[in-house]
Amino acid sequence: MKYTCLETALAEIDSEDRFFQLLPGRVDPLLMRSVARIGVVEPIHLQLRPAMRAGEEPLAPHYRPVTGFRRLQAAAAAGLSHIPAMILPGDWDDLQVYRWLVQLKAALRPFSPLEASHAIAVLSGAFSLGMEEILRAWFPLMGLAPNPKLFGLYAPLRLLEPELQAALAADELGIETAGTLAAAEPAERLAFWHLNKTLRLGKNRQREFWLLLSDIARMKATTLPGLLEEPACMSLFDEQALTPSQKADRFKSLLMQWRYPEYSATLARFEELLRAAKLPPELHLRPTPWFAGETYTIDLSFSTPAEYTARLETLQEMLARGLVDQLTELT
Amino acid sequence: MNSPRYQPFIPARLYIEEAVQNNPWTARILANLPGVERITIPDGKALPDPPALKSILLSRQRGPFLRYCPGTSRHICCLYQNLDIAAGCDLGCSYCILQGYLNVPMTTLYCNLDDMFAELEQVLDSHPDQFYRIGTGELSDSLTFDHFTAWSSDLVRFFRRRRNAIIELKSKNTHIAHFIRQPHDRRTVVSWSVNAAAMVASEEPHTPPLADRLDAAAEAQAAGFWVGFHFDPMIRHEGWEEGYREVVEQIFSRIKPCNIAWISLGALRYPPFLDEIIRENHPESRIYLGELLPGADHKFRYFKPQRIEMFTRMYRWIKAHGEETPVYLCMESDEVWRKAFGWSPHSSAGLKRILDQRVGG
Repeated sequence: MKYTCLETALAEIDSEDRFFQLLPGRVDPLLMRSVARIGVVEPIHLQLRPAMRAGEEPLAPHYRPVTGFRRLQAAAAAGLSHIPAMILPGDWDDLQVYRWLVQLKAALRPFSPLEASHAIAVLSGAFSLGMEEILRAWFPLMGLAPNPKLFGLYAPLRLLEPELQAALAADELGIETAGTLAAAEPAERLAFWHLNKTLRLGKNRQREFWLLLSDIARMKATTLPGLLEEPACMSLFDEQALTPSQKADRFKSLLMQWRYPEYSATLARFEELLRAAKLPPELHLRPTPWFAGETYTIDLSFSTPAEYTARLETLQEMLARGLVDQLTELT
Repeated sequence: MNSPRYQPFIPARLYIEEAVQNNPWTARILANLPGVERITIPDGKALPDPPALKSILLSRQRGPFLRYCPGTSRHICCLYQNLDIAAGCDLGCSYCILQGYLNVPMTTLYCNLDDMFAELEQVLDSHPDQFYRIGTGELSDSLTFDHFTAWSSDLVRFFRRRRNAIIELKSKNTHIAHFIRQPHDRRTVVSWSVNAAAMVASEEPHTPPLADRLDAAAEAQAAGFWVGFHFDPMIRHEGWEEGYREVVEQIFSRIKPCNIAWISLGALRYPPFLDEIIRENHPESRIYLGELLPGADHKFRYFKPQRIEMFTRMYRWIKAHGEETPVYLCMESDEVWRKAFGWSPHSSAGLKRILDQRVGG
């Protein structure tokens, strides 16, 4: 492989041509400052434009950027006239350049889900490659397992709004949730993302809340934005005294009541009985998870015979007041 | 007999393992599917990639055919034994466990039935005092491919002479032609999975309608067979009470209790991994919107009081037609039995005893 290294005039480079850019993004201010101070150190890679390669009348600009989009932008912003560049072999067609680019990037680290999403779009769009071939020949080049599920998960991610893409890139949005959101209507995912910012959900809770919300919206024959505008939700979100974490907990409780009404009613009744029993912290009474069984478990702790007697008296009192009967009726 | 919406399955292509290409059960399938493309392959594990949709693999069962129903922990199981002569199904019901259970790209029919009959003989002969209820409807529908396999005929013939076993052909299908006129000595139970009409329409859209299944059941009764019914999975939906009661009434208007071997009840349940599969494969389905919560075995089930309510009502509706018909719960706890039916077999062995006795065990 033969590169030509040139100090290339910025005017010769079509900075609007972003065909080879693996992931659109903004220029880092640090890079801007560095380039303004000491110029571009690492050469960018350029491809001769197709007409030039064919020996036709050269049209300015002569080059398409292949790597270094951000450096190019920073150089322009810094008012540089030239930039160091490696010119890729003139006999390479676009697909060869793209393969080289993918290998170059994956040599450092595997493609991120978003990079893979953009690459899939280019390979299936501009190069008309099918899923089978992308999986077989290109996923390994990207450092990814050739798994159809990954393909299905990654492919639509580029459809996410820039804000959601940025959240995914910053690991603030879980990949599973991102995949689900990408398949949802834009209004639904934006409403969810707004909710996420209000409640500051972690990645695990994002998925849990999304599932609850989408199920409830379907049960109530409404949309997710419509659901979030219900008075019960709005008043909770507007509660100034609550922290995001408290709001998230209360909102989940509300969602559980809508999603699992009979279970939630049983749980509420159990908690009511527990409050009535006024158990000390040394006595812990719990049902089977989800009330799936009929037994209750009691944890009892004591350090003196007197404490032991007191705990038993509390339990006896529960029985005498009919609370044990009511608990067993519950299950 | 079948409605226009149901089309008997005809494979687009047959992959035939060399090991079974010359056996008589393979030959019968090939004779019944004259126009279907055939590809012989050395080993079913090395299928060409990707196989055509609607293909069938004719293969050799490498493991045992007969195995206990896996059951589920902390629940009462009927101690049924599965006879795995096929893996896969064409009916595509939304709730089907096979969607997440089988890891083969196509339905497999195990054609080495000579090995199967030898295995059955060996097992049944070596335990003459043990009674076996055996079925082929675990990894497939017992009759859905029978219009071109006719294996039901071989099974009915084999079990006719067995005193310590019965075979249950469990199906949503109506392909009974190959065995209905055969002598059977009441050693075969022909049973149908049934559901409320609304659920058949929405969750079992590629199956014969309920009326056709009941017609087939009536025909089996007329031919002297034991008949069984499985309300499994029961699905809570708007109007479920009327929907299921109507099916009970239809059954008893056509089938005499003395000919019903058993009726089983099972509420919708599935392992967690199936939730995502159902949502993905059946976006129109609403079954996952039920109040399904993890149970002691980690499977999603309806909230317990809801299950108890469903079973209680069904039990009452069925028993209104007489005490004779055994009704049992599939994969439920002793507690749910007691609360729904007012009694319990207490253990899997207890339930087995009841069902065995019903069919002469």
